[in-house]
Amino acid sequence: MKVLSIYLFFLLYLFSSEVSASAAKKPQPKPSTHRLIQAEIPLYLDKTVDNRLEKLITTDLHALAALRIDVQDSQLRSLFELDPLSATSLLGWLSERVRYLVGQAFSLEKNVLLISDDTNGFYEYENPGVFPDEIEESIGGTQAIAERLMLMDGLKEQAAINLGSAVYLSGKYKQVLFGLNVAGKKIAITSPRTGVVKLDSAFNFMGNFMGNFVGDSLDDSSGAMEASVLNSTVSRRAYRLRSLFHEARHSDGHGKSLTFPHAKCPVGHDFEGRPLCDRSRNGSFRIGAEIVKMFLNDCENCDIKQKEILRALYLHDINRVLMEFPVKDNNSEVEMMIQALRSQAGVYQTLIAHELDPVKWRTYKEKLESIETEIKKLEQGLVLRNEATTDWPAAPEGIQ
Amino acid sequence: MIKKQGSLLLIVVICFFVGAALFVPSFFEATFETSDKSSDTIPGIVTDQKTQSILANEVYLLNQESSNRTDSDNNFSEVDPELFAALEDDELLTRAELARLSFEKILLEAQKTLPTRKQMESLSDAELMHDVPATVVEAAALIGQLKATVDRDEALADEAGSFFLECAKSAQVLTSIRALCLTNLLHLAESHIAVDMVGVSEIPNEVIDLSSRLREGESKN
Repeated sequence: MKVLSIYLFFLLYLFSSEVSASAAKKPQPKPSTHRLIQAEIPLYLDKTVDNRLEKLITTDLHALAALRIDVQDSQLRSLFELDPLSATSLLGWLSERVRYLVGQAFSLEKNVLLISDDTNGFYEYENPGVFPDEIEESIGGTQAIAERLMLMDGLKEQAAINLGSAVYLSGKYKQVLFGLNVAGKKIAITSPRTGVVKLDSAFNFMGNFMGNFVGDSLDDSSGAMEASVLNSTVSRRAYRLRSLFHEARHSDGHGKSLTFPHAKCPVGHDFEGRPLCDRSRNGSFRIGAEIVKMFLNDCENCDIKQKEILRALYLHDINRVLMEFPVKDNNSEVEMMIQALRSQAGVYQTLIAHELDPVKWRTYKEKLESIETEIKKLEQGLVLRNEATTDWPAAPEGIQ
Repeated sequence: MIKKQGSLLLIVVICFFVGAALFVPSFFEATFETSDKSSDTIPGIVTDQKTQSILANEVYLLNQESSNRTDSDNNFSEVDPELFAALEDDELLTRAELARLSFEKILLEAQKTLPTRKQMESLSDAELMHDVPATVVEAAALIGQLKATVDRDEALADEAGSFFLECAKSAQVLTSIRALCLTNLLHLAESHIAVDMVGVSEIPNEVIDLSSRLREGESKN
């Protein structure tokens, strides 16, 4: 009987320990509230950021804090405008530009606010009416800036999007002050530095490579999440931080450099004609590339595969930092000739429209074609000059 | 008394089954995790016969795939037929032959995976704006595996060099990966005299510039 009782107790003990173990394995409830976290830097997380993503970001920023950086690198110091340059100062740089994180489920449409403005219904912006040329070229004219807001929200499958800077651009174009309802706060978007960044589906995804790579496991139910966060490969970590720093740069700039927008890639580039390049040497692609390179340079214990992935990430970004780009030659003499030829062409167009005599009509037509060919030649001559790209001023406009 | 003993026995039996029900899934879970981990290991030199036959089969399938492809841009070499003759004879392969087989397999995969400019056309601006195409990461990982294999057997350096040269020259391949190939070709050339550099002048300036931007400041690696 005694033996039986001991056995019974033993079984009950095993049973209770198994129950408590399986309870520990149960999925952790997603936080339904907004929160401020201290992930090396203070970050306000919207309720749309689940606790699994929060853990990834926290561990990524811890890894960045521990990164050994070449503090003597003058190029890096100049790029980030940091002196001294260190992991700590880099984190500070990030925290000035990224303050609020929202998740994939965050709806811009539902959370954008029109904040009260002055009596005329307008908000006075710094550098009024001045926008980067790239925005006009990339999205089809200044009038399209207002639509950029919708465009940004419609962009899916991106790693991250700087919503703060997009809303600021839109407000500046409409001359009204917008706000955002983020992390339980109502924020007035008075500067591109508001730092509201949306982490989209691709933030934790780096290609379905080798058939089993789907980003860091976010499967809480298997209890593997904690381990996967800790074992997160350096390339995945670098990829996520690259995305955060890339977006951080979009929080910078004023006037013509406002938000450091991307520009169309030149003829011959892999992404020719698409708005996937930077005309500034200190833009988002350069910032992201340098973050990846920092991880590469502090990767003594990485295997060769990890290093090659980091190299490819660096090259993929740095290839989009243009060293020069084609510009129209500022040749006033040629421009005057073009103007004169356009006037002549206008005259011939009118004559053609009214001429009934077929012989004269044909003569006018030939003359017009010859003028148009001449105009094209002159215009081509204007476009041929390549201009070296430069660093853009990063100081933000507006009130932070 | 009998009733009391009977009900106690019933509790014991129930507890036994409950315990068993809890233990068995844990056992399977543990087994699954173990096998999952082993599948994550990078293929290297293998010696057991079972793995050899799996590898041989994979290489055969890869070769079949390769010969069925009609991609006219691809002018890379095929798997050595002598190795397949050896496989057909069911001979036990030496360590070096297996390393070579592994190398050939990775080489074929890498050739297939090299991302092209044409592939990028099918991706949206949004996808390319901030993300890195999967093929770029995949190609980089395979290049890394290729390098790891060469590190173990320097006799494979020449063939790896040819692959890097063809990759760096190919106008269809994405510039970033061409630059990665050139960087690796230069690393090989610096450490292995046997690397053939014929035709290196065909590599355009933008690829050379990009490679130099990677090498610049990468002294610690």
